[in-house]
Amino acid sequence: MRAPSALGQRERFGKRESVYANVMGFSLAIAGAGMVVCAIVEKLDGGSDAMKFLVAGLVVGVPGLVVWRRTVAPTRLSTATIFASALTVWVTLVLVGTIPYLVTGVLHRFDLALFESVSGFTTTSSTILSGLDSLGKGVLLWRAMTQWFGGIGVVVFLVSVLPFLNPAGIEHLGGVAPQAGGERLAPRVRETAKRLVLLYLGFTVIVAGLYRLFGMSSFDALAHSLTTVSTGGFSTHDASFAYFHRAALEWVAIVAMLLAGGNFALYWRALRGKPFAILRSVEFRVYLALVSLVGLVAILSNGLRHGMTGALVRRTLFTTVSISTTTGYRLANFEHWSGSVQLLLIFAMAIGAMAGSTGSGFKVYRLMGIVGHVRRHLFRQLHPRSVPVVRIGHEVVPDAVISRILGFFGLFMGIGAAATIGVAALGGLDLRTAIAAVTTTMGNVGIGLGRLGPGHTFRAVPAGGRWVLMGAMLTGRLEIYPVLLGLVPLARSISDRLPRRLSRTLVRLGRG
Amino acid sequence: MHVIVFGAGEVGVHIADRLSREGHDVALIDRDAQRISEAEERLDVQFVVGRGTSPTVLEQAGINKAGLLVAVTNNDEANLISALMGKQAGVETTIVRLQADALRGAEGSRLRKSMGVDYVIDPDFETAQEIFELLNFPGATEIFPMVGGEIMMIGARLVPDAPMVGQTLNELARQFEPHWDFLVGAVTRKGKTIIARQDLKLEADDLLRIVSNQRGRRQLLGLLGLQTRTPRRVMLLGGGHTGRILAERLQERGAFVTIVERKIERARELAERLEHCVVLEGEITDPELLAAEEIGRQDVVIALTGEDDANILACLFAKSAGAHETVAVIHRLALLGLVHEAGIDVAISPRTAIANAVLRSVRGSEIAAVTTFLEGEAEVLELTVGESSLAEGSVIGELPLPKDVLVGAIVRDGNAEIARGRTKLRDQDRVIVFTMPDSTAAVRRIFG
Repeated sequence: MRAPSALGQRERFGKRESVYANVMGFSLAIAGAGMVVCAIVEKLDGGSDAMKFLVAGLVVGVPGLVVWRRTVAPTRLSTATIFASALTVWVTLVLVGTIPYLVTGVLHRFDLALFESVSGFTTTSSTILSGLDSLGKGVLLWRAMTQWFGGIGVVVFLVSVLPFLNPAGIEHLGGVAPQAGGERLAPRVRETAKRLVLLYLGFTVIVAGLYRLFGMSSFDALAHSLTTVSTGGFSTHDASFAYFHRAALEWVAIVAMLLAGGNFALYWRALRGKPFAILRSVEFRVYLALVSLVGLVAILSNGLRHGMTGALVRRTLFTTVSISTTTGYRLANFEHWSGSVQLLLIFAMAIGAMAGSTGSGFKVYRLMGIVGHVRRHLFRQLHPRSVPVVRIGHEVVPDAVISRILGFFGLFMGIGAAATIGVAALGGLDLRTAIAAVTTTMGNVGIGLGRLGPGHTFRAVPAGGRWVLMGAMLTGRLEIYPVLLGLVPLARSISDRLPRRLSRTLVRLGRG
Repeated sequence: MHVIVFGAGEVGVHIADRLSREGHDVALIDRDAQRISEAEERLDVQFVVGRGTSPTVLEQAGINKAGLLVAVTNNDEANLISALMGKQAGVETTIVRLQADALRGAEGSRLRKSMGVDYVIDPDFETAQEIFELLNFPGATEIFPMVGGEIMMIGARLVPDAPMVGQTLNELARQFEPHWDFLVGAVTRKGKTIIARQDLKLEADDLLRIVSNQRGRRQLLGLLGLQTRTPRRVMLLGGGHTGRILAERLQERGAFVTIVERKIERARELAERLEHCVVLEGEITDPELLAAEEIGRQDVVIALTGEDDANILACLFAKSAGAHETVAVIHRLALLGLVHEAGIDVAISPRTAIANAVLRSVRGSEIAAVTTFLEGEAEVLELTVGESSLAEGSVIGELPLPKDVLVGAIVRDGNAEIARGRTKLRDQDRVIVFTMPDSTAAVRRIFG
């Protein structure tokens, strides 16, 4: 019996064929390059940590580069392997992501640094750190950069890789926009990924330029553009966006966050001369409608309580958009908002943004699938002999897709419930705070309620609760399956090495 | 003229029959010997068994002397190929039945041209079109737009309490002096059709053929004792090609459409294609299904499967359940009498539509359109007054027209007018003429 080992033994083009070594090497190389950039910025700013960043960058990046260039990923991968590789990428990134916090002494404990790193690479922005304004530019840029890498990583993974596996009911995300019924973005994953990266880069540059133009310092403009387009939400100031006090900046951020929460595949098509593809997309319209609805309700509620002013409208809208798109910039303190609006914000966090965006959450597309399914269910009660057809937008979706969406829904709710209980038990949080904490981390938003609301940090959560939340962040960001099934290849290869009898018993146990 | 008809289905046989009765030499090709022998008993045409896409078969049917080729099998591809072969053999005109939307539409025009297709017909499409027109004129049994829609040919049966009953046409006409917006052209009573005369007294249950301009429509509805409401709830029994086209148009207009289709795959296809229709899977004669879906509350129930008996049965059930109006598609003409007797409001035959389309292209250039009817032999011709013809410059009342010919309407410079005895005809006028088949030659002589 051939053992399907975690490290493949074959060679191609004179390179070792191993997907895990390949993606791990690539992740290390990218992280190393990021650290070197941080070293340069730190140096330019006259900070004291430039050397540490440079050394860390080289130590991480050079071996990574060597491994990446010396290995090659097989052309055909099993679903389990792809999940495992995605998990490998994120685990590698969050682990090396702790290095800058530790070597600069910003955080002394590994688990705290890991929380900050996970929160970064999952574009969450729940932070451990306070006193950001006095930190070195290198660390601040690293924080922002982890989100930027996380954002593009997830878009590439979800748009160009996952649709081929299609575990979660989002059909041909990048290839075919759900409603368009059209062509693939590119014939191959690699091409699609390249285009997405290009688009993402361009988007970042434009947002940075606008931030600079409307009054941010060059460094703030750069750091915030990185965390806006990735729907990350880390800021370089404790006050987050409230630091700037500029209406124009807030408007720019509102629009940029909304766009970052939209399907990147649609934008690519729009740039390729089909600008109306965006508006024709029913999912896009529903996404905008949902975000507007939450914003409108919050504005009305706050306006009635405090008097409607232009600033209140803007600040409320900014805050709801920041939450609905799963970005997480803080501006207005919604601790003072009415309880029902806070509840609405929790729902907005859970639903999240559009499929194919850098945003996270359950995704508007899946919500539409569930609504379509429920409508059909009710309709069939009245017309039992009618032919059941579910549409998302105007597009008919096969029953298999609906079933996958329902499966995903079950997992999403179940994991959310389990994590809430876990964080309440291990973290000593009250119910409201626990629910908000899990929703905000699983939805990769970043701001919670109560002790974890705007103006607070997640240091308040005890260690056990923080581990649960780290799990929630990764699970939410990778759309559950890679986290849940990513260890299957490892488990298989371990079980293959065990005595046959033991492994058979284990398999049986595993199947219940 | 020698005509080749390819496809001895219901449509092909009907066309062959019509054309041979008009005095053309017709050869009918079908590869199904059984069908040919069935048709042989009824028609006076040449029969050829074989494929209409085979050169030898076409030659046998006399392709080299043919002036017209009509390809009306169920197979678009076969029809196209035989048209191409006909054109190559020197046939002047080809008429091809095409069912695929892509081939019929503008996007298929280049293909059609290169395949030598002159005219396209699709009985299902024509039927759907006719039913749709009827729904816009509830209560009418037939409706044909003429001269690009300026004039409507309306067929309607007089209900006993209609204001028209008991009046002579002369009395009727006097009420609307000085300006007429409609004219009764032919009356069918007890299966016998006559071209209208001034002293004819209208009776209940008469089937009238009326020409009307757009203004006259509303007036007519009142006189015929019909309602003016357009239907909102429509149930289609049978989800074939005709049903789909109809459902699409009704859905576009905002009607609530329910479709019943027997085949599950087809039903699914319809449900996917028609977003706003309710598609039910089941037999159209299943009383429990129909009752559960409230067939009695429908404004119109249209049965359009390929099976006459099912269509009739379903319509009867709908009528007894309380449906406002029922329309049945009937293929066997012999059943028509029964349909009306049984209380079904409208019967439509795909054949009339198709025959009209074919006859139009056979009759030559001076006749732009011919309308024939399911019931009664009268025809309505649309023709152009030729330069230096007998009609040019004459007053209608003084034309030497046979007794069974009536000029109904005139369209001059885009204005539609009901014809009067004192109207003077001019070159290039479009006239609508009611006639019996025997007199068409005379009509052509006078106007051509």
